[in-house]
Amino acid sequence: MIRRTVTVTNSAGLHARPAAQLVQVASRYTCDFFIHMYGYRVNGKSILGVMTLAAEQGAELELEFVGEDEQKASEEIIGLFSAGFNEP
Amino acid sequence: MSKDHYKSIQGSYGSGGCAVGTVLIPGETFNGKGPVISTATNPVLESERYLQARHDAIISLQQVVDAAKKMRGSEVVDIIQTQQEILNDPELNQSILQRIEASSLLAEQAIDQVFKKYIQSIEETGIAYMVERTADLRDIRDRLFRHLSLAQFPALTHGNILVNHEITPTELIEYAPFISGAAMVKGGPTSHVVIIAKSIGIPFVVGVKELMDVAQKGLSVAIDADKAQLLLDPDPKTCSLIQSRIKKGQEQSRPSFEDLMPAQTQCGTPIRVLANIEFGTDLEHIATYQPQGIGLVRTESMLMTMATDHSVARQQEFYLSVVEASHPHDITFRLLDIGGDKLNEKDIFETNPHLGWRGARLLLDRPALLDTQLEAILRVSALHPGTIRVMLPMVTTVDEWYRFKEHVHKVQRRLSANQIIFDPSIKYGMMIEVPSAAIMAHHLGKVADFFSIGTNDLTQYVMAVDRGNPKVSSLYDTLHPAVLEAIRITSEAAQQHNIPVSLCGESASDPVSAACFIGLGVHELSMNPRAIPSIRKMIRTSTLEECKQFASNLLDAHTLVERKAVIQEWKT
Repeated sequence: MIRRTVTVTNSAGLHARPAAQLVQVASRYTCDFFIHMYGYRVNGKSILGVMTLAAEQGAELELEFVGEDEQKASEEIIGLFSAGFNEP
Repeated sequence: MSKDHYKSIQGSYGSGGCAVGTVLIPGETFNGKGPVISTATNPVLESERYLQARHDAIISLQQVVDAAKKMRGSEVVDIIQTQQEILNDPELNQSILQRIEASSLLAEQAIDQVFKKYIQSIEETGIAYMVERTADLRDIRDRLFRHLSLAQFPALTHGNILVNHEITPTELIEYAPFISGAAMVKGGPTSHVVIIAKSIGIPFVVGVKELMDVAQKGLSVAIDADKAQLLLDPDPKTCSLIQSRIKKGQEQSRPSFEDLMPAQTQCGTPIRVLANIEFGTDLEHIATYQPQGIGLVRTESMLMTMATDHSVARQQEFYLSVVEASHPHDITFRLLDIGGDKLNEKDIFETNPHLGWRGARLLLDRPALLDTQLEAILRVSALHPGTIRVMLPMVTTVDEWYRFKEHVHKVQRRLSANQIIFDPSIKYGMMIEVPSAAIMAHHLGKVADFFSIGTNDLTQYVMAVDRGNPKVSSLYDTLHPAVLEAIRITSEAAQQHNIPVSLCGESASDPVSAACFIGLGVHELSMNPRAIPSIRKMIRTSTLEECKQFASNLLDAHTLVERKAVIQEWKT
């Protein structure tokens, strides 16, 4: 299992487009992927789960990966957060 | 209207053409009101129904993505891709299946409950742009409902006539491959779905009051959309008559060589024939019909489909594509022409929105919207100087115009300060669509670079009639002397101040009306591109003197009977 903390940097937060992007990437991996925020835990492969988190700019999320390809999955997904989902 | 009341029903004009087919009524079980409760369902069957509908929805959404990629900017594709992800959501899928099994619910009920739960939790976040996105959830939910009810039409082949109380733009696009015509109870000729029907060439009759009382699934109907009529259960003779008109229409729409050439009247007066553009797909028509420019680019659809990002860069992309497609001809952008209801702001309630906060009134109160749009257009203008014109919709007073020009100067100064080049010679004009502007045109002509007459709104305001209201829509008459007088005054004022005047309403597409406008001195007409061949033909075969006489006769035709007689006399 891999656990990492990331911060939402893009100004509009984890709204629909970045949420879709996140879920698309996560769904390519077989490992389970969860997002923890303020005591909530959602399935990172569920766009509605991610959207209901309503993570705004500056929010801290803990990402949890469990499964065979967890290493690769965590690298790519953390990359998305550091790049601010290619948004301003 | 036919003598037999049950054989022919009258609506209002939507999108022209003819069609024969059988009635198809989408989503009869649902009208956004939630499912009819029915117990003792078979969970296995309901799960299968849900999975099939989900599968169909995924496929149909992919078709919409493919169409949208051709049609509009990337923002639409973004929105639909988000919707696709929602359909693929594993948690959503599981919750729906669990509910069907655990509570013996109908697929519709389970879907309704699960979506309600998600919509509620997103609304509870209270973040405006997230709450906006619940529209996507509702869209997906309704799409699933539609496919559940569509499954009841196993043989969905071409030749259906889509019929309902109201047809949404997405519904029309989805059903387009299976239908040859459409009709609805609601709506007027300027509603969005009608504009789309025109753009994709589907005959459409709107405002058919008794439609849902007489239309039944599978009933054979013929649509004569040019006359805004529906013929119920037509006899074979009528059918073949309409079929031959459909064939004739198809031949007519193939433009001849002459139809592609700039037109002049028989006596040699050049008349500029321009195109109205709204979607990316309309750009294809520029190559097909060869207008001499774009007289009206509607920017509403483009801006409204950008969910949150109205940035200069996003807008520039769209403007540039239009400018490039029409190069080297000139092009007139109409600034955002919307009412307050489209703004997604709370506490906007107007009892009379047509007389309310819209067009220039709204733009001047929302400088962020106005300035970004101006900036995007100005930036694009640098690439093709001398071709861009900008017009302000719904101008009522000259004070609005002065305030507008202050914004233009402010944006120009800002760009210059940042050393961004733009075309300083852009012409700024105003739409003449409010009676006060038409009456004062001799005064407004001193300050505007050009006039563009919008006959849809001008007719509505001069006649004080809502064209979408079937109870009064017969009063809506663009060729009424009162409307023609307003056009005449405007055209005269333009000549007096030596500025161009064009006309960009729906009626410019109608050869008879167009002849009258030419007679009133309007020598620039902007229209639905499909109408260009027939308008050019009218111009080639008429003299300016004939048009003037026709306009003058119409100005004198005070009763409906007189007007009909004058129009009948006109040779077309």
